[in-house]
This record gives sequence, C-alpha cells and structure tokens, in this order.
Amino acid sequence: MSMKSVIQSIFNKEEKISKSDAPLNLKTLTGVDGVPSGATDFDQEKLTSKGMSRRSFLGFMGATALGAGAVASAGPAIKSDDKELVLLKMKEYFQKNYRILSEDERKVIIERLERKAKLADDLTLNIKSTEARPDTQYGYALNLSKCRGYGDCVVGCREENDLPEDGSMDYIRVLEMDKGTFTMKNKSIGYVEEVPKDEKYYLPMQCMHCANPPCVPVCPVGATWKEKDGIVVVDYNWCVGCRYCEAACPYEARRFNFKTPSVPKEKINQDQHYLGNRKRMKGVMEKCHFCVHRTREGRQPACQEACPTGARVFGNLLDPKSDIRWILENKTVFRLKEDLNTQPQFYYYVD
Amino acid sequence: MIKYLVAIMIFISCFSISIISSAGDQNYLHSELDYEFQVPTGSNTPTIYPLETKKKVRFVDDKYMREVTYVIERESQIEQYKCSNCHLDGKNKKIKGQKPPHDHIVLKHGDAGQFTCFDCHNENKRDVLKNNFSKDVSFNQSASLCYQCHSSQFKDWSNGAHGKRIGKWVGERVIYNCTQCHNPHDPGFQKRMPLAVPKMRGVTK
Repeated sequence: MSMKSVIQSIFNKEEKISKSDAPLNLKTLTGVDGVPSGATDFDQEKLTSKGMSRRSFLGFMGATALGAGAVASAGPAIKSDDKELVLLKMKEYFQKNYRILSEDERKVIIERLERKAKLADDLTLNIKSTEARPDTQYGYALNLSKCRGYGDCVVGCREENDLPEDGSMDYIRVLEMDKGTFTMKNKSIGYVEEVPKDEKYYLPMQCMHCANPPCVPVCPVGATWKEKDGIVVVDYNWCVGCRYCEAACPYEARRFNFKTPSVPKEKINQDQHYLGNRKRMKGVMEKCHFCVHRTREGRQPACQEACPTGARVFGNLLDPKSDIRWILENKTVFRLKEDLNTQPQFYYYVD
Repeated sequence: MIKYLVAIMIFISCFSISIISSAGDQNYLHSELDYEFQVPTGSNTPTIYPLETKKKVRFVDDKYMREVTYVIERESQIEQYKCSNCHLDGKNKKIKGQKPPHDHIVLKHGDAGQFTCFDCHNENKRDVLKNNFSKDVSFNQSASLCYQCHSSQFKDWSNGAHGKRIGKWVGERVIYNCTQCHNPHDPGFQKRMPLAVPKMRGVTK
C-alpha cells in the first residue's frame, strides 16, 4: 500500500464518522433549555461539526466537566444550573459592541445578563436599556458657596452604583482647598476632621461629561462614547482595559477595576442600566454616568438626592426654562480647565 | 485550535464565579419609601424625606416665580402640632410633672436680642405664623415669611439656585421649603464629621 492510499483511507474513515452522526446540537449535549437564543455571535456550527469530530468534542467536554467539578469541589457532577451559567458566560464572550446592536439584540444580551445574575448570585435584576430623551443635553451645576464637604454625595453615589465601601473606586472626590487659592498644591482628599474648616473650601469633582471629551477618541476599540443626551458611557463588555482613557482624562474621572468588584448581595442596587451601574468585571474601566438609569426616567441623580445642602442642580441645558439655565445666565459660573477645550458640561457657580 | 480556546474560556468562566458574602447594613437609597440619612448627632442637617410619604402643597407666592411650584408639607413634621392643643385662648396649658416643652429652644437667629418669639409666631393664633403686616402665614408656607428679610435668597430659591429640588428634574417642580434645611431658631449649618472618607490611589495628605 502506498503512502497516498494510507492517507486517503484515514480521511475516508473520518468522513464516515462525521457523516454517520447527525450534526451535534450543543443544547442537547449540555442539557440546557430556555436559553435566550437568537442574534448571538456564538456559532454552534463552528464548534461542533466543522473543525472537530464528535469524539474529540465529547472528550473536551468531559475534560471541562472534570475541571469544573474539581474547582467547585461540590460533588461528582455539575448541576444543570452551573452548566447553563457556563454557557451564558461563554456566549457573553462573543457579544458585539453595544452601539451597533439592534433593539432585539440588546434585549437578548440584557435577558442573558439578568439570567446570569439569577443563576450566579440569586438576584432579580431589572437591567434597562433606556434610550436618550429627545432634545436633551444634561448639565450639572454645583454651588461652591454651599458645598461644605460633608461627603454625603460620595456615599450616595457609592450606594447607588455598588461601589466598594472602602472608597477606592468613588466616582466623586471632594477636594479640600485653601480659601482664596485655586492650586492643587495644598489639596486634601482624605480629610477626617469636622467640616467645614474655616480656612478651607470644598470642590467636588466627578466626570464632567465634556462636549469634546478627550477620553473618547483615544479608545482603541470604541468601547466608550458620548450618547445623544451628552452622557459619556462605557460598554464594560467591549472594554479591553488598556486604560488609555484614564490617562487622557484631565479631570481624573475614570476608575479602573484592578480586582473583581465584590459588593454584599443585600447592597446591590436592583435598578440597573446596561450602560450604567450594572455589574462590572475585573480589568475594565468605569466612571460616573450621571445615573443614566435614573436621569433618563426623569429622576435626579443619586448625588443630587443625597446632598444635604442643596448645592447640586441637575437639568437639561436645552430647556430655556430649566433651573440650570437660569443659573448659567444669572450667576458667576466657571468650568474647570477650560483652556483644554474639553467643554465640560459640569459648571461651578458661587452665590 | 478553536477547541483549545473554548476549553480555556470555559475554565476561566468557572473560576470567575464570584462569591458574594453577606453583611447587614441598611441601604438607604434603594428603597424609595423609607430611606433616611444617618446623620451624626449634634448636627442640624436635615434627613432626606422621600417624596411619596410626604404631601406636597402649592406654594402660595409662586406668582413671583417662573413656574408653578410645590413645597413639602411641614405641619405633620412638627412634633407637637397642633399648637392650639395647649395654647388656648391666650393661656398656656400646663401638664403637671412635665417640663415646659419649648425650653430647649435657644434663639440664635440674627444678632443676640434682635428677635423675640412673636416676631414670627402669631401670639393670638398659635397654629400659624405671622408676617410683618400681621397677616397669617401657614407653617407649610414659611418661605413667604422668610423672604421679607432674605430677598436675595428668595430670588435664588425661586429660580433654583438655592435650596433643593426633589423628585424629578423635569416636569412638576417640587422643592424644599426653607425650614426643611434650616432650623428657623438656629439657621446656620453645623460642623460635623464627613460621611465619607475616600481612599484614593496616589493621594497624599
């Protein structure tokens, strides 16, 4: 027998195997039902029938099951819930950028996220995908004469967005500055004495949601963008964690997840938005999103609601009757680092 | 090649099942109905009242304002209201064995000795206040008493630059009244410990 015929016979054998068995269905293999199917990137055909024979696929599934069993060390077999969870997580890896998804596709990925939270953490979440309101540009005004550095806004933001309690990821930072100066030399953030001190004033800083945001064009994958209503958002699933945007932001408004965020289950906010306060992963950027899940429904952001002195005003800059427009027209208003042409939509004013 | 990649991904996802521990502390921003701020003692900063549990009343003088404005009803928040339960016909009812209920009030409004109780309270009708023209002003409408002196604050308040808007940023305008944040007998804000002590990378004290 020549070499050529040997090779041919091997190929024929493989063909026979793959022809005799019907193309495999991943659903029946893993025993998963009720998984939201539809416009997902996960390609069953690729995984099963094309580059892989039935035997090798079964082998690899068995190895995975063994590995998972060893990790969980719960019992000899995996529960069907765990299998579904693994599958959901796998599908999430092949998800597209949120911006190019159609409405139905968004519904699918949000259903998947909710199901995942139900399986993994036993949480019943309401993840929204509310679109921007028409004729709206959000703006924020903060009265520096009224801010006393109590830090209630920081805690309100922390509770609303499931940030860690140690304050390592806070979106809002309240700088304690010397009165009469505007230098960052003598600033202090970790003040623990009674406030307000006589010789100090307090300057809260968060994401300015610039009209010309320097953090957006530097993103190499397009995971961050400016929405139609002016909110700069991040698609956490698309972010690769390169931290270019953190370096580009002149206001140090972006935060990086160095570790997997862990918030007690009771404290997790069940009112969530895909672009807002849903669960973040390790290795992605996050930032203030003007409480997109609240503001797009007309509610105030959490920091405004928490402020005890009423120093914070939130509103629509395009509405000539709004409170914030009156402030911009009648008060002494300034913005931070205007010379950089970032055009922040976060205004500071004094009485 | 693809099978190895997928196998690695499954392993990663198995490891990344996060374990969520439990801890007991109430969450004030999430429940709409009953959140309150834990304010340290010795402070007169207000607690935050949810809009649903408090009634709103229309502000009487909103003709001076740009739009129809509602304020939060105040009378139900006063502990000993109605005042006429004790103050009847110009006489003060005394309960034996009980200290006079208003003894803790020290008037720190304005210069020392500048004001007396009956500059704002109505001597004859204790359930209402009175303005400089001896007209009755409801406890709910305290702003229309305060603006007689604090006109610049009233201008800012009626336009949204002073005070606090609650509920929604769009639509019906509901704002805090003066007495929601300021204690009328001691209107200044007190010093207190900050609620949050942030811990940030690269920050030196």
